[in-house]
Amino acid sequence: MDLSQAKHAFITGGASGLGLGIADALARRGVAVTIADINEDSLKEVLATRGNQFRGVRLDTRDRENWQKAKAEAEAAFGPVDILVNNAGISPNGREFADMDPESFDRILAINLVGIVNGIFAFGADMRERGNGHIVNTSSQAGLTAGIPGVGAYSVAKFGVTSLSEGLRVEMEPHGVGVSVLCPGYVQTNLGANTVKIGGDIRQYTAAMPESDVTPADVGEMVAEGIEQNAAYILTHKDVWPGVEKRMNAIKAACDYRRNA
Amino acid sequence: MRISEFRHAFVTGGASGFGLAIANAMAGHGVRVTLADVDEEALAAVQAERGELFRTSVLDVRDREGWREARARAEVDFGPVDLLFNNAGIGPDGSELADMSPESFDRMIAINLTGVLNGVSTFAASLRDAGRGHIASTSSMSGMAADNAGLGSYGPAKFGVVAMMEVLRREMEPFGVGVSVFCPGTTATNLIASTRRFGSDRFPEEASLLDLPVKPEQLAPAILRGIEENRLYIFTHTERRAAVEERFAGIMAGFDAA
Repeated sequence: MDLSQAKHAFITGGASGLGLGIADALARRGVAVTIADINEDSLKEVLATRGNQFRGVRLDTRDRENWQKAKAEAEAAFGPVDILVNNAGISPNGREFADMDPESFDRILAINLVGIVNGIFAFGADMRERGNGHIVNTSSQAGLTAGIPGVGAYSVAKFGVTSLSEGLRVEMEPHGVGVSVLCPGYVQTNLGANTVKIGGDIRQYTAAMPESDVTPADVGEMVAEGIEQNAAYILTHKDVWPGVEKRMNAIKAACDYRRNA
Repeated sequence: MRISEFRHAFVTGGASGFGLAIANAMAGHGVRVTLADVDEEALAAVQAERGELFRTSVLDVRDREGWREARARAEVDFGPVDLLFNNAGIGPDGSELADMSPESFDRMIAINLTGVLNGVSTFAASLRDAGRGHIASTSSMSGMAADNAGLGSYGPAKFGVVAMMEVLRREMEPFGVGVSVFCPGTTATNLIASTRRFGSDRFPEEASLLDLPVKPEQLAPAILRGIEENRLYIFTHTERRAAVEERFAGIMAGFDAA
């Protein structure tokens, strides 16, 4: 999508972290931005420091009626949304499956997977009818590889987002709507604090996270470029690749095992 | 673990298709099997025919309390479960995401993904404590590649099952419990009838996969061998390999651009 033609981006989880990095990158390119976020304090804080190219709307991505209201409000101000960034999400719960409260699994799925498809339900048909638009869904490196104990529920949701995005891309392509899935490696954000704020549980898994010099602003630039090029995958950390390659090779070997049987 | 060393297998979606084929093959090795299924009539028919080998249990995999009760009943009869096979599932509703009813998406996730989690929640801690056993779950080749329209809810559920088994395998490995994910292609099963039962109107009443050439019974030996050898991935349909390779190439290209 040619970003110089884009008018209005709607970004969930837009008041901090990657969402805000993406919002700033698109605003720099002249796009009006609605930042949708569950946290009203963060919304106020961000809007206070940015110009009238930004608007805020409170949104719990689990709430389908809330989506309709937020959409109506946003489009009344800035016109039809032509870029949807489904970015809101919470962190892993740090629990192994055998010890996990099923409600904790439900919460991660409801926010990190169903919250994203809710955005597609709200905006997908309009974009298709207009024959124009782009959807970015935030998955994770955990949406490409899985295997870290305690990150199971999160990986399940993020694998789902990756698949959702791949399938949506096939469905939207004939209609001129682009779809990208963003699979970042570890970036310093307030994911953990935000998760606790909405009642999620989280253990000390972040202690094991590697240092990263990739900032939300960097990711914002990568996403803007990814939208321009209609990249299927927007990948931010080359050091994620060895793990992905290892998994691919294991799957290929398992295919060969069957073929040779 | 050799199949004959298992004592009690609990198989969901056990009254037909893959579930029943796996159960029959297990029983052939002397394993006692509890067939759990939402289809009471189909369960009764199996019970009438092969009642000495199987116990049956009516279970909707979405029902967490139902899981606890089904487990309790099953273990009274046959002792502790040491093999859980999460196999129950429905098929895609055929609509594209932009047209899909949110309730249809929710139903898919609840049955095909959270239904598997519910099985894991019910049995994993006990298997870990016992220090032996196996958990297998049915995903699909649609859990490996999402290159078709109309699979917008099925794909995420099946990718999710793959991720769940990959992580669960790491978590259970130190305790001697094996984990596998079975990813079949299209097979002659009751999937369409099961999908209709849960409210999808995509298929006409006469539609069926049952005439397809690949039968679940033919694949059961490969599934059992996968469990016996504790293989993470159990593939039976090689014709989807090209789509999987193409997906990998796309991801690789993304990393080149990173």
